[in-house]
Amino acid sequence: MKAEGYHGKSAQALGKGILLFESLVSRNLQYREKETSRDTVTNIDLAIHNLICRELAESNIPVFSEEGLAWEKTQELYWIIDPIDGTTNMISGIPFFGISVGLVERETFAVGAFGMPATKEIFYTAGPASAYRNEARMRVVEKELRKCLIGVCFSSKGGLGPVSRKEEFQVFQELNDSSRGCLRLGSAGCTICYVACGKLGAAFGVSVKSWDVAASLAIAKAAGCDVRVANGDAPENLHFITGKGQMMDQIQERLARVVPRAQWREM
Amino acid sequence: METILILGAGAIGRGFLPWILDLDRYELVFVDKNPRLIETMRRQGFFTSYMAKDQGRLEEKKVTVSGAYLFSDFDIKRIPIPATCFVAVGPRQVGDAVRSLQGYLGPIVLMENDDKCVDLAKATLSQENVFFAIPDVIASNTASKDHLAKDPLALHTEDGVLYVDDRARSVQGQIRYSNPEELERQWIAKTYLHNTPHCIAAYLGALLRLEYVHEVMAVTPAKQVVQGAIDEMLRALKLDWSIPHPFLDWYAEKEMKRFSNISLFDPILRVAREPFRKLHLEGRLVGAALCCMRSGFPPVNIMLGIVAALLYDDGSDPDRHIIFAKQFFPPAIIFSYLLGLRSGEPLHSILTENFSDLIQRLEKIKRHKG
Repeated sequence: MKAEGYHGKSAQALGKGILLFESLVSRNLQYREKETSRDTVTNIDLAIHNLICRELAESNIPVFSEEGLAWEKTQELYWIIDPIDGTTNMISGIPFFGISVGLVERETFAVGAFGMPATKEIFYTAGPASAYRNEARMRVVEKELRKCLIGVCFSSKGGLGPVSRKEEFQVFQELNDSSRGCLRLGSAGCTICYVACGKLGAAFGVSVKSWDVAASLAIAKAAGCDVRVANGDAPENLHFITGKGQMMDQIQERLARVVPRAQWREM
Repeated sequence: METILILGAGAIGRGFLPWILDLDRYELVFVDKNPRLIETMRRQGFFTSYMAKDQGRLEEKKVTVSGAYLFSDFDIKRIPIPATCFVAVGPRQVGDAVRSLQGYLGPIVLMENDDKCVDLAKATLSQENVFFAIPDVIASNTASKDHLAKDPLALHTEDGVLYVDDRARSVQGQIRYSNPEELERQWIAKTYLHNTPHCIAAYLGALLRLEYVHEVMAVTPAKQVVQGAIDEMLRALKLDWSIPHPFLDWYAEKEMKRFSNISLFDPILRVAREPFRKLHLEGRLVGAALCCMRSGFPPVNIMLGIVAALLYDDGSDPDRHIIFAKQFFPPAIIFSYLLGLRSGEPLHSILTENFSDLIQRLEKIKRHKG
C-alpha cells in the first residue's frame, strides 16, 4: 500500500495547521456564509487550507479540500482535507471543531490526522492498525447499543430532501430512545474520533461530505472500529456507520428507511 | 501456613517481597501475565532472589512457589483464601489486575508508585480494604549472567524497606507500618528524589546505549545531569514542602549511591519503559519540572531528562509511538497536546524555545561516551 508511508506526513501537516490556528484564533475572526446560513467559511479556514496544501504539495499527491479544487474521484491516491470541520461551532464558541487531514487510496480511507485545538485533542494514525488520541493508544471494544452514546451527522443541506430528513429524525429518535442518547455534535470528524476513543459507542451520517470524514474514518478503522460506507447522492458525498460489532447492523437496519438503495461496504 | 497472593511476579513482587515476608508463616502464590515466566515457575517450583548487602556482598534466598497462574486462567476461589494480597504490577495494569480479586474481602496492598491506584482499585472492587504501600528499594527483574545460568528466574534486589499504610496492619514480616504523615513524607521523597533522577538516568542510559543504570553513573556528564536533577528537586522540595531538610538531604545522598550500586543490575529497559507515563503532567518528569517552576527556577537538568524521554526509542515498548510523535509533531504540539502543558505557560515556553539546544546538549553527552 502506497498510503502506508504517509502517516507521518499527515501528522506533520496537522501539527503545523494547529500551530497556525493557535496563532490566528486570537486575532480578528472574519467569516462569510457559503451556500446556506449553516455553511460558513472564515479567514482561518482559508489560511489553514493554504498552509496544509503547501505542506502536502511536496508529496506530489493531489490535494482535495473543502475550500479548494473541484471534486474528482479519479486518482488512485489523494489527500483530502478540511481546514476546519465544524466552522459553525468554532464561530459560536463551541469546542467541537477540528482540522482534518486524510489520505485516500483506492477509495479506502487509509491515513488520518484530526486535531481539535479547543479541547487539546489530536487523533492520528501511525499505521494501519495503530491510532492514538494525544499520547494514548486507542483500542475500541464492543458495547451494547443500550449502553452507548450515539453520534449523528446530518447533512447541512437538508439531507436527501424533505422526506428523508423526516426519516432521519425518526431514526435519531428511535436510537435516542434505545441507547444512552443521540448527540449531534456539529462536526463529523469530531464525532467519529470520539467513537474511536470510546467516548461515543457508535456514529452514523447520511450524505456527509467526504472531506469531513476521510481522516476520522481512517483513524476509527485503525483504532479497531468497524467502518461501513455507501456512496451518497453526489460524488463527494457518502453515508457511513462506525462502531463495533452488532450495533453496526442495528444502525444499518434503521438507516435502510432513510437510504433504501445504499450499497453498504466494509472498509 | 497461610497464603499470600502476589499479583505481578516482577522485580518487586518476586524479587523484593519474599525478603520481608515471614516465609515460615506464609506460602506464596503468584499471578502474572507472562506465560513463559509462569510456566518456568510452575516447572521449577522455586526461584532465587539475591539481596545486595553492604560492600557489594550478596545474600541468596531460595523461594518456594506454592502456586503460579496467568491472569487469564486465575480464579481466586480455587486457592486458599489469602491472608493478604499484594499488587505489584504497573500502574496501567492495576485496573485489569485487581478485577481478578472480585469477591475477595481481605486486605489488598498496592505498590504501584501511584497513590491514585488505590482509589481505582477501591472503585473496581467496591471495597475499602485497599491500602497504599511504598517499596523504598531498587529491585531488578533480572540478574547477573552467572546467577541466571544457575537459575533462569534469578533476580537481584536491594536491602530496602516497605512502608505500608498502618490500617493494613495484618501481615507479619519486616514491614514498616506508617501513619499518613510518614507515608506522605516517604511518598514525596520517593517520587521526586528517587523516581525523577532514576528515570532520567535510564533515559540517558538509553541514549548512551547502555544496559544497566549503574553504567550510566560511570559516564561523568550523565552522572552530572542525574546529580543536577536531584539538586533541583531538593531545592524545590525544601522551598515547597514542610519536610525536615536533614531527611531530604539523607534521602538524596542515599539515591545517588543506589544508582551507582554495581550489584543491582538495574535494567534501563525496565526503568525507562512507558515514557509517556513518566512524562505525565503530574508525574516524575513534567510534574517534577513544574514543581521547580512553582518554586521560581527552571530545572535545566530535569528538562534534559524530559527531552531524553522523548528520544526514547524501544520498538517493543507500549509507548513506542513516542518516536513517531517526536519525528512528526512540532515540539509545541508535543508539549501541549501529548504532555498536557498549557500553551504559553512558562515551562511550555522554555521547553519549546530551548528544544534544539537541549537535544544538542544530549548529543554532546552521547559523544562524550563515544
